[in-house]
Amino acid sequence: MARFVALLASGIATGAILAVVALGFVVLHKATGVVNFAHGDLVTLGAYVALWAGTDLGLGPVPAALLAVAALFGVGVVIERVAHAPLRKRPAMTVVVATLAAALVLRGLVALWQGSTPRSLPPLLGDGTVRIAGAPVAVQRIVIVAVVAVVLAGLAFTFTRTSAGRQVRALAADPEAAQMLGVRTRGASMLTFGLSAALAGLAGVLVAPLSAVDLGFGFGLMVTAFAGAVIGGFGNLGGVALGAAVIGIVQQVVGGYVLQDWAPALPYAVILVIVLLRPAGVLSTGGTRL
Amino acid sequence: MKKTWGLLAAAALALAACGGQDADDAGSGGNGSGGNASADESGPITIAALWEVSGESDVAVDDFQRGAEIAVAALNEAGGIDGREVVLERFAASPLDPASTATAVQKALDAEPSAMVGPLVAGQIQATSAAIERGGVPVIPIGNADPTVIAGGDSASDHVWFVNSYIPALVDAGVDYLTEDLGLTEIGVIGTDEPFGQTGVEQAIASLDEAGLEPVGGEQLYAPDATDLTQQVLAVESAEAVVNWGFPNPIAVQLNQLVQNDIAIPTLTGPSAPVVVDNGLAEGEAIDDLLAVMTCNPGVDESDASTAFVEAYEAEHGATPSSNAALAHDAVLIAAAAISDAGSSDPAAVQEAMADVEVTDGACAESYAADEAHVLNHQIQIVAYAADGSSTTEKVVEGEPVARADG
Amino acid sequence: MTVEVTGSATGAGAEVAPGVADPGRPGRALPAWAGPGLGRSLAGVVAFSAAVAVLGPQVARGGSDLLLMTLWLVHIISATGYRWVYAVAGRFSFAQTLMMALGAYTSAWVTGEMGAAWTPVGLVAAVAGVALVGGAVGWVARRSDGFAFAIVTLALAELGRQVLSHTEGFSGRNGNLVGIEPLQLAGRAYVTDEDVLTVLVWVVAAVLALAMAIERSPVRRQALAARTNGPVAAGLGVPVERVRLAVFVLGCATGALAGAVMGHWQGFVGTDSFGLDLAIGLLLMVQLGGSRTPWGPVLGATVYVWLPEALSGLEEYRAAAYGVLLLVTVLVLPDGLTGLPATIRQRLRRGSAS
Repeated sequence: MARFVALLASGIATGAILAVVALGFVVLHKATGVVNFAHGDLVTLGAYVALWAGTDLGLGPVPAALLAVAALFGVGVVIERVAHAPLRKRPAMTVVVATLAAALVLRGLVALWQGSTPRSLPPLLGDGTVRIAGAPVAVQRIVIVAVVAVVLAGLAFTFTRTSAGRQVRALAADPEAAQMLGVRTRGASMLTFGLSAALAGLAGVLVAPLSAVDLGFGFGLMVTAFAGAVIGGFGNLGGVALGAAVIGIVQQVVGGYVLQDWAPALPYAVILVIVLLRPAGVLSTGGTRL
Repeated sequence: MKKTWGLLAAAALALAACGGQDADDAGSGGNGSGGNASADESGPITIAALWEVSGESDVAVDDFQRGAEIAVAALNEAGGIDGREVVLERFAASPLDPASTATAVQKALDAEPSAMVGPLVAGQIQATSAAIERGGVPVIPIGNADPTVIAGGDSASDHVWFVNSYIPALVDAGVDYLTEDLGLTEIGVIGTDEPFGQTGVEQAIASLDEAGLEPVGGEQLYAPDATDLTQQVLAVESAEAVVNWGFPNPIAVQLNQLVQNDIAIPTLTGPSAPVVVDNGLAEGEAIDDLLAVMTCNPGVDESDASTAFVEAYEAEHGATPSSNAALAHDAVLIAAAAISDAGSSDPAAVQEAMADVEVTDGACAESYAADEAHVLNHQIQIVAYAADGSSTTEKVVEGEPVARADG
Repeated sequence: MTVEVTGSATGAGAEVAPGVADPGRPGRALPAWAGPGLGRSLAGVVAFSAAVAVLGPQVARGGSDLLLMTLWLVHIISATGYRWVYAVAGRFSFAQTLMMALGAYTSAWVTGEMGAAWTPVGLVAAVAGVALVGGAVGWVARRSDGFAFAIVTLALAELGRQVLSHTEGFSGRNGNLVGIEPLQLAGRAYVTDEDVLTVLVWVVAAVLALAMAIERSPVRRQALAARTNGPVAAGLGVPVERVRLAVFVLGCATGALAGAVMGHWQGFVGTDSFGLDLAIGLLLMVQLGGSRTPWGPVLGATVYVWLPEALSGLEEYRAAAYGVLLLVTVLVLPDGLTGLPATIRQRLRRGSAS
């Protein structure tokens, strides 16, 4: 039982991280149509900014994390101006390649700035553990789940109750109609990029203390998070969050009891099974044109 | 119009046919001249380095270049090799990218060196062993020797010589330490799911088997970028020790999760341990029971050559060198000794001299001499870490000569 | 809204509507040398290949230049295959590198079992085997469009990589297969880079000739119609799915050929050689070169192979500089390098009109 609880707790925490990564990705995709392959490197950048704030500015873990999330919002806005705005009328594929190039730039700059030896980021609230049903669970994992829950609630509130959120949703639903109705697409687009990058930064500062920060860690996380987005149907945010949680739990719990050697492959197997079961494609909710 | 183009194409084809012929002749003529510049026995001696410096790839660090530069500076200060200046020419070869390594090896060969130092991992040697064999220049990689690349192995070249120790020998010495010196019988075995980890895990299980033991919880492999090893940690919960052969990041994850789960058992790992400790990836209680089996531990090792190297490195870069820096340093020394023994900078002569080369002032191992598998380094130490990050040498093992893989 | 990656008429459609496929404005969007006329195109291919065969070994300053030229030729084949997958069939696939790896392992396995003299059989087996795999993937995921297809193929590629590195035999120990026989054709073994180059140049010629032929066949027009507006095309009697699938399979099989040749050339295949980096590389080659003409992948492969070399003096700044250059290229050259003349003309026209 304790073992199951421990694995489940790990699974939920992993899922929560994947949810934040996937949400940042999906929000941007929904609102602007952009598939942002630099998202994983934004996760990495978030962790490095927090690391820098902690070591060079001497901030505590929590202020450092907040600074990182805020800084990433700014980075997102800059990316929108530099790599997206000039391409707004271009084919979507061109934009994809632009984001890949942006990822290379980001990674190259982080390497110049912080080097490439692995580093360690301290946990937000210390490295203690609490016991749940006899299983020790690291405080950082509980912090992750709590923060992600708050962020999800905040996102839901923003999108339904605030004017800025409604503008982003309008942009996602129909950009041309939104423009005609007076939504300032430019502002909404910048806001979305900023929000997406801030979510990436949040994921970075949450997950980094569990392991070590290096230049590649965000990219791998992004690829796994795709699986969550696919399960969740890529459309509504709740579905994506749920899908990500499922991936985390499957990876930890199924991988913990059977198929141990194949645990890293499980998210990909899940994607394939889903596509076989739903050949129409899980994107159908957001991707139809006719 | 069509006809003109057809004629043009035919002409081009004919041209290509003769051109190809010419090229073939030129090629066969050029093959024998591998050591033009080196055959000139008075100018500077080129040693090629096959590694990156920080920023060139996601995993690039400066350790190798820094260690090798210190060796070259010391050699030149002492008058070079037989009065000839030594020049280190670097070619970026990423351990993540076999294609970049193939290009780097070819560029290095074009520079007509007397010997090469690097690359870093066995996969890079596998990908380039044919080119290395054709090139005819002795190569001294920095990474550990493993069964596929030692002389006689599936993807070996007789021109490859190892400054670093043999992975199965390291793992075997580590497991012996746990079973014989510490008298443990319940041992778990985990590792990263890639060649380095797999080789280590296989050997650990074989060594346990020799002692009549089986790994607790079976064999457990995890992704190299794993951030959660709850499952692996719980699988070895009832063990008295765990062998974790893998990369630094997941080893740090495992060490931290052992503490979180109140499992206080020693973890034995390999050359990743200093990376974990020196970069603070795991700290305090988490590294209190950390054991590492490695070839050397600069800063703790007490030989004159090691302390002199550490001093020079600290003076230059303000940090204690890693074992990788020491190995890169020693690779240059070995190449220089072989060139000197050969009495020539011709790579063929240097290759011949490698079999009998002896170096006794290494910064990592105290002495180097090749066995039939081309492994030069047989020094193995068991190092124990303490909560404050300090380390002590628990045991020094003189490894057996490694047999040829096809012997 | 047009969130779909490849399906939008205003988006990807504009990118691929080629002058030659549109009788209304023949050749206008294309540079003159890539204009209509299959004979001329084929002559261009022959002239190109002959020039490489003759001049290549002459201009090479050393072994590394020959190696890079050989790599360049391999990547012209890979990128041509990927152009079919990505730009003609409109499939944003991440599994192309898996197809290349499967091709490499298959041909290596055949020659390993039967001997080097069987190289041609190995190559055919690689192409045919991967065509079957590609057909299965394309058919199973036939309704997953745009980005969903990208994710499915990414999952497939990752899963494939894990399976290959866990199974011994076919893919060697840990996914590293070593000691692969060199190419042997008609009793002659091609071992050195220069030898391989002399053979590859004609393989490239054959692949480019096929590309030119397809460019001017109804297949391409049908694939584009299927891609830009599937339902309408189907209504007009175009066998949408079959055409699209056929082009996708052709692209996968061409990738397998590139992978197989690469394995025989280097004597080594590893899962690392066919990872995500190369998948992104293929995308860059097609996009940078320009996807409108078969010459696009040729230029794209040129940039992909030689740009990092040109930047190697920058050492630690190289990675960032490479990214910045790519970003700038994408920003200023919407149709890639082969679209450069058209882009300049368009700018000039706009300039004189104002």
